[in-house]
Amino acid sequence: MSASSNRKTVQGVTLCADPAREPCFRVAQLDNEMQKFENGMSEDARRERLHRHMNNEMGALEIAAQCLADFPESPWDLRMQLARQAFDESRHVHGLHQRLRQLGGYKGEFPIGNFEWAVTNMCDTLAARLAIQNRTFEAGQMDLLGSLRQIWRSVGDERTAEVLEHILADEINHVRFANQWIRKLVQADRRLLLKVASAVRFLADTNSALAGETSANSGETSAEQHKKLGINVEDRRHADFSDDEINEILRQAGMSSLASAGAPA
Amino acid sequence: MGLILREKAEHLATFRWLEVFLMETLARWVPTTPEMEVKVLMGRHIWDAAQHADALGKRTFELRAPMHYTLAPLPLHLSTMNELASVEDTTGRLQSVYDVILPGLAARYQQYLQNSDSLLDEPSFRVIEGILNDYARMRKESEEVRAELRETLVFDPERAERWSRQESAISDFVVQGSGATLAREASA
Amino acid sequence: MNTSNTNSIEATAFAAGPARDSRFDVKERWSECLNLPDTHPDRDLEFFHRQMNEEINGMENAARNLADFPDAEWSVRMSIARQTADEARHVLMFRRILERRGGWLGRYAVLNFQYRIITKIDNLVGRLAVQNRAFEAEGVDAVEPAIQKARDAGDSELADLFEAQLADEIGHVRFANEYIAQATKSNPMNVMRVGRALNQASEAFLSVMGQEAIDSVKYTTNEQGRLEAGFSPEEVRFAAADRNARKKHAGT
Repeated sequence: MSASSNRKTVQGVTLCADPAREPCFRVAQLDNEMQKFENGMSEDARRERLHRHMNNEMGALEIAAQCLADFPESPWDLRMQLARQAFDESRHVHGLHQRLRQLGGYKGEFPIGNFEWAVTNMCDTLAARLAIQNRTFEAGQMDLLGSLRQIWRSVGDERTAEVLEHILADEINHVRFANQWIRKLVQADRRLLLKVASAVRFLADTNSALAGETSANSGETSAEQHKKLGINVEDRRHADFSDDEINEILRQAGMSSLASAGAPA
Repeated sequence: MGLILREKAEHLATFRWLEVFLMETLARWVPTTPEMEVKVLMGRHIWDAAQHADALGKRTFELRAPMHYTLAPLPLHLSTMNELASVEDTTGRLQSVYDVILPGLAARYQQYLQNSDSLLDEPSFRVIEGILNDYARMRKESEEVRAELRETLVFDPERAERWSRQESAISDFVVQGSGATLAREASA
Repeated sequence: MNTSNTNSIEATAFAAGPARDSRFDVKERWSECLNLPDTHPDRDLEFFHRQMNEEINGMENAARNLADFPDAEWSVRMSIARQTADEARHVLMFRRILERRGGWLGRYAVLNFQYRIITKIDNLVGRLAVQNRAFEAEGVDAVEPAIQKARDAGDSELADLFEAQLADEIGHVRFANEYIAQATKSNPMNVMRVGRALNQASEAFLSVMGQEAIDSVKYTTNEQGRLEAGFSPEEVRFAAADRNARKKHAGT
């Protein structure tokens, strides 16, 4: 049985059951089970950010791998991209784990959540999974990383900033290939549009049912972080988002004045 | 007796199937293997297997077979591969891939090189030699992970030896005379 | 052909020849070569020697294309680089079989007309049209029946060599066809360049080989091989009809 076909229920919402984790990890189901810190860049908070991000990258690896396992008939060039993504995400996990240990942390030090895995694997088409994981979660992370590097730099942690910079470069590629392939897949089969739209709706419904799941690197929801940190417009362009799509994202993030004026470069 | 062009294409198409199989097996195992270091190891090697399959698939086209021509191995080898891919525990999975499948495939690649001509078929040699180098690195990386997790993972060497004997006892693994080579559509 | 006409073609259709070491005896006309009859015991050795030098020409032409057109698209430069490596291997393949069967490098005179014709063309699309799409496509036609002939004779070494060579040549013709199609679509001037290059090469080829050598060609069009190499079915039909008409004209 495929790992994506197991189910769990969280606050009445049916989601994909968690992927395998070592016993040292405490898996949270809700945002309020995650650890939060008053000072977002205290030493403990920094380790928690790295720990959370490390697990998120592990989830991204698992999602890309599961796409390879679940959709063997998809175009070979797209499978190559997914295999490359699995490789990239593996390196991210490794790099973040290394940095975590350098800062005195360890696997299982903080609770983790597998929200992205749980939502993405509810989609039964590859186009929808790409729309959720790469085009939404990873693109959101791209926005966060655009600003987070500066935050780490501002507290003098050049090494972590450098790790995040390299991760960002990879994520842009993942978002770009997803954007390009979703277009191709939808062009070939217009019915997929409905699948993609349903998946986006499901994500929104799940987010609201779980009252704002957290994103990769802080205790805030994605929308909250977007508002605070801004949209990484330049990198979204590199990742093949159109101007209209970027404007829509700016509007949703409460920056409609920027959107109506045209996205800043 | 060396291989003729069609047989070379069939061998490479079978190797391609095995590399795709390896990629998919590792992909299935990533979410269902608990140890983070092992997930990371497998995640990295998914890309290696994909690149091997890609290079082999491009080479089949150069040998006048379809682009990314892919042939499943003969039933006995196929069932052995399926058995090796059905292992559930982490140590068994590591042994299956790094102690059995990769060395077994390496021996079959070597056998191909012995039966082909390094000049006439040099592009295949380049692809395969690259794969063999990657295999050596992949196995070394698996040893490093085993060393890192030596306190939590306990290996049963007898099991790996038994699987290896089973795998290496199969000599023929390529379906020959598949008919698809040399008769592909010109637009393939 | 009178002398003044020959000199005029020499100036307009040929570049200087490639470098060769002293072991090679370079001639300028097919009639100056030995050209052993089919029944001669050394006929194959002469063929291997000639083929080896033609592959050197192929390698040199591909190498010059890389050197002369640094601004060409990267994808076509990659294909040309691969072709250079393939032709280099073919040189070694033919040298190996020549020496294994008692021949040696320099035993027969060689012609470098391919290099001299190709490098006189000043644009890539024209060079690929002549070298890959014309000369190498002729090779695709010639090699296929030779494979079967060698197999029937129990000569698996030669059959394997031809089979490997043919597979490579099909790849070279294919990438050239794709490049030419794309280049002529994006810039109609390239149609003129291809036409001019083919005319120039055709005249030059005739002056080197003479009508008699051209008419003596015995092989037919390799339709499957040409389709695999990216010729359209219509182009393959045209090539076959043209080849038949020429054979009829020559009475072969």
